[in-house]
Amino acid sequence: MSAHLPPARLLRHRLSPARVRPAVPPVTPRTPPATRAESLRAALGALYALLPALADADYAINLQTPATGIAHDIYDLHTTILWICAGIVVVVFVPMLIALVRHRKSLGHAPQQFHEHPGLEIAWTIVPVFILIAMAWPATQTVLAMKDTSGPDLTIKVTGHQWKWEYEYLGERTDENIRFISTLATPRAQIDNQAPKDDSYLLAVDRPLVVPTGRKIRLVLTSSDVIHAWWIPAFGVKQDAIPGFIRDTWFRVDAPGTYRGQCAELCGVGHGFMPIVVEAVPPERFDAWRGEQKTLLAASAAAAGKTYALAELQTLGEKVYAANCASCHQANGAGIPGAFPALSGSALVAGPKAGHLDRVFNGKPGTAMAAFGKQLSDLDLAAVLTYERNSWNNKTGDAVQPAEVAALRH
Amino acid sequence: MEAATTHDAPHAGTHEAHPRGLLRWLSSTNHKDIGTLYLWFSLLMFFFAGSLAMLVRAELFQPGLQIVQPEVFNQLTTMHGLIMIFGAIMPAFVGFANWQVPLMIGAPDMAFPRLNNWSFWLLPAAATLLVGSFFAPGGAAAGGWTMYPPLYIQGGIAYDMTILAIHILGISSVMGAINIIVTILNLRAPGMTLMQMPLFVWTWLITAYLLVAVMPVLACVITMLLTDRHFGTHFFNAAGGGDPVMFQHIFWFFGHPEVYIMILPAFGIVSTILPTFARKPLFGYTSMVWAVASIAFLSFIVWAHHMFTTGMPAGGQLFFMYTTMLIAVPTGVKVFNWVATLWRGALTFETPMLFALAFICLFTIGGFSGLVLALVPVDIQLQDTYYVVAHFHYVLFSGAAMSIMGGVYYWLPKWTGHMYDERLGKLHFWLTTIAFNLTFFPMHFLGLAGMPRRIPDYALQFAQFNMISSLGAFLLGASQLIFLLAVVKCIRGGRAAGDRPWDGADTLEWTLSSPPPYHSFATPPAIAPLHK
Amino acid sequence: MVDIVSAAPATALRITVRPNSAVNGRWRLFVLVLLLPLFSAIGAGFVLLGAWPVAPCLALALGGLWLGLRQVERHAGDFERIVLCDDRLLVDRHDPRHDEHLEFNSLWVQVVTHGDGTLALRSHGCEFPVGNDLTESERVAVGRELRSTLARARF
Repeated sequence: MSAHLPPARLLRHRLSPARVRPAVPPVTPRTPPATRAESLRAALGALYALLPALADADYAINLQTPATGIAHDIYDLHTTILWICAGIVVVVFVPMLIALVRHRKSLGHAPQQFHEHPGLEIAWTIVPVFILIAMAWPATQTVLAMKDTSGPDLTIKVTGHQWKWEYEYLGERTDENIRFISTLATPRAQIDNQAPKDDSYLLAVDRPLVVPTGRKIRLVLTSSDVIHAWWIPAFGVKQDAIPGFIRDTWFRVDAPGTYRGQCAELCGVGHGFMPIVVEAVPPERFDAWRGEQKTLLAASAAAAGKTYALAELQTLGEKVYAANCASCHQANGAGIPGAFPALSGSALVAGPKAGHLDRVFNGKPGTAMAAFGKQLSDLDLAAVLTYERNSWNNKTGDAVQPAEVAALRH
Repeated sequence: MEAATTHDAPHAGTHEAHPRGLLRWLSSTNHKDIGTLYLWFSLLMFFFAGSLAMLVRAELFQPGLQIVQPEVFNQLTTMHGLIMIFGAIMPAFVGFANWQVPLMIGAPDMAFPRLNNWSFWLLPAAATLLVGSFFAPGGAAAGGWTMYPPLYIQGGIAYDMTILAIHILGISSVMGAINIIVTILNLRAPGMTLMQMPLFVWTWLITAYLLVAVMPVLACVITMLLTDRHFGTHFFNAAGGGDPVMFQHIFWFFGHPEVYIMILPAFGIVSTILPTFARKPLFGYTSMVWAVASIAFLSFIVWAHHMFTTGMPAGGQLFFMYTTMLIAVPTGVKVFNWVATLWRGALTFETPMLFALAFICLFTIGGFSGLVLALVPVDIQLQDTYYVVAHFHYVLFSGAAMSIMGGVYYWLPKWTGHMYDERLGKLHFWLTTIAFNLTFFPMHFLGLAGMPRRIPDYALQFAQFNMISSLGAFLLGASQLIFLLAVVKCIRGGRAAGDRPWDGADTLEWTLSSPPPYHSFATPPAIAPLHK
Repeated sequence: MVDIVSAAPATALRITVRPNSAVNGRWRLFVLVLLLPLFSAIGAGFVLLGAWPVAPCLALALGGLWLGLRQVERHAGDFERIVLCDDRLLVDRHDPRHDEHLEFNSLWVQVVTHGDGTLALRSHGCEFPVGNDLTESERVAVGRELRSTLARARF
């Protein structure tokens, strides 16, 4: 039903003007797949209308508007089971209410002494079994459909890192692969309440995953450190990314748009700050985008060969640091005593380049310190190293060049 | 022998010689003393872990980071979960078992009184470790109460303290469970057959079996975690040929029966309170016993429903979906039987009854959301969201914790000899029920709309429900102070309760004085068949 | 559990103390036989998964339960019997480790209650504790009954 909605409508939940409370309650032009769900939603919403201060906000009280066939199935399954539960509530609680009202001692009701009724007891054991079978049937169909990852049009490898996502579009040949890292784009100032929060607060990334609409996309997932989970609610896709193992899942997006989700498995300090954004575009635009990426890739390889000035590296390094390092070592380089070491004044950071480079490139096994050599480009690594070596109390005055990082790769 | 007269050994009242003061509590092997210790300990832990939850809700009051930083937030949620489960709910039920099981089966004490003393005194040691870990370098464990590796392997010394604490708690639980099993099997008063035991005793017997079967599994899995952390084993390390998902299988093999360990005794308490205030025997006693037994059995074969998103084969997902849905059948039987117990009784609504009725309604909501989560496709959408948080708080707070509160009000007159203040009790009940729903009902919506759990900060569209939820939580926390007041007031004095303050109560403890003599049932009581 | 029986002549008395025991050995065996396959299945399952440490942990717990039940089993037949008959006071004790038979002259024996509530029989300078397995109130009753019957027997 909502398969051909314009993207703005699809994103209603995500981009709702929740922060700015309008003076007049907004009309809610949602078009959910089921009208029964709408009335239930209204009834439940009314419950909270009692709180005047909060009553004018736009409440999302149901699953997000589905954007894939599977998500539609899940939505309908949930609605069905909600109605079955509502039916059982009536069957169980109406007699209970009658008893509570009429069979009171204060009304002089004399207690009966019956305490069993085999027929009744057998009935209420058997009947639920049939209800459960009725529920299990559609659920089974959906499970089988969700698990069918065969015949994909495009396969993307997703790797979870603490706390960012790496995407790699698998091409026919390995050197055709497009690979990039996607990190939180929300500025720290918004999180620390020093700047107004924008509509996509905590749900925006620097580089979204771009996929073509109408194509079957297979994701193969793994992780480089701890377990993460890749989740886009509107797709009905949630799959753990497990270190050392490959899992797969799939989706086919109906309509173009921006779809947002988050990591759904506790993965440490930055768990709440590793969103997922998927940009679904028509296939022709996707092909164009793919072409652009290859050009960009070549440009960045050329950039890595250059030699940079200290100031240039520091400016770039500050950005890389904020995106990759600050959640543990903190923006001021002080770390968190006992959990994450301070970089400011650290003997390793302010010491010889080789030791510092090795730690950042190869990480420290058994701790949250990842091997960034696998995640960042030579230029980014050189920049962040330079930044760390010349910030806070560290005043080495030396610059690390991309070529020095590249030397480690061979 | 011929023409024999049997003299009853008289009650010696309270004038018997037993140590007083601190020594009494440290060395006591008396089931009532130890039960009291368990209950006070769990109340203390309930308030401590509750304060952690208050901090969590304060941070989540608005989007943005205000009060705690993310790493502290993760410590708060982790410790809130661990302490509530292992420090508050489980010890509270063991406290009930200690007080009530011997009284209800007509035994003089537990089977192994000295073991009982050890079981309790391990708890403060474990609690010290858990609470103390907040002061360890880097703060307390922050990997979630489920302790999933590899995340859990990254942590510092506090993680080892937590593992050690859980080991101690596990040993305590197994010793307590063995004690309870032997007591129930062996120390029943002559004439009390198994099928004449009050349902509370039945639920505890089955719970104790679950404990003996699954606590060793937990102890083992955290030992493996410890050796992975420090001794170079690779059980859960993929780089060394291990499997992080295996941890989840073992953990949840413990974890799911653990859920029933925390709810079966609650069923027992509710099944004791309802007939009392309906003045009518429990409906379907036999089917209740069988329902509890089948829930316990099924709890062993549903564990992987906590892991649907790890990506198991379709066959595995379907098997665990079907077994999970099957649990709804015996659980449904229990709810139907409770409603049938109320039907055509003569109901009154004292505080324990209010808690029991709220239990039926709210636990059923938790059951329904459990049924929703049992469906694999829906679970994949809702796993690790606030919907799950709502679900297990409906089961563990309005299920376990509110049944404990109801049970405390129900038996306080027996334990202290005084009636509690009915007005305070009712105030506590209504505030708790309203605040609880205000806190946790909106979480269903948050989860459906896509808010993950265990995040210190959230996107803007979740702001309103989080604010409502936080306000509810502060009210819920504050209302528990009324509970403390009601309990303390009752202990210090009040209207004399008499032996049997509830006219509908028919279990054995009500044949004793209130409070019962230090050693109850010096002579085994005569058992009239409970069910004709 | 204590059973105090005064026989027809007011000077005779039989007191038997037994631990309460609601189940017999067959029942205990049944409990373990029921649990053994369950525990074996769980243990074997985890060993196959590669988590072999689960098996010994489970064995420990089952062992604990077995020890508990065996303790009860071993003491199921325990008793302590005090019989006053003519001029003899006979004390028989039975537990798994040893049997004990004591004979006192009922004219000489004294019943002593200590400050901590324990009960003992004293004769020719020696003391023999009795009723250790009783609760305090039962011990009080036993002591009173013994004293009064002994007093009657001496006249």
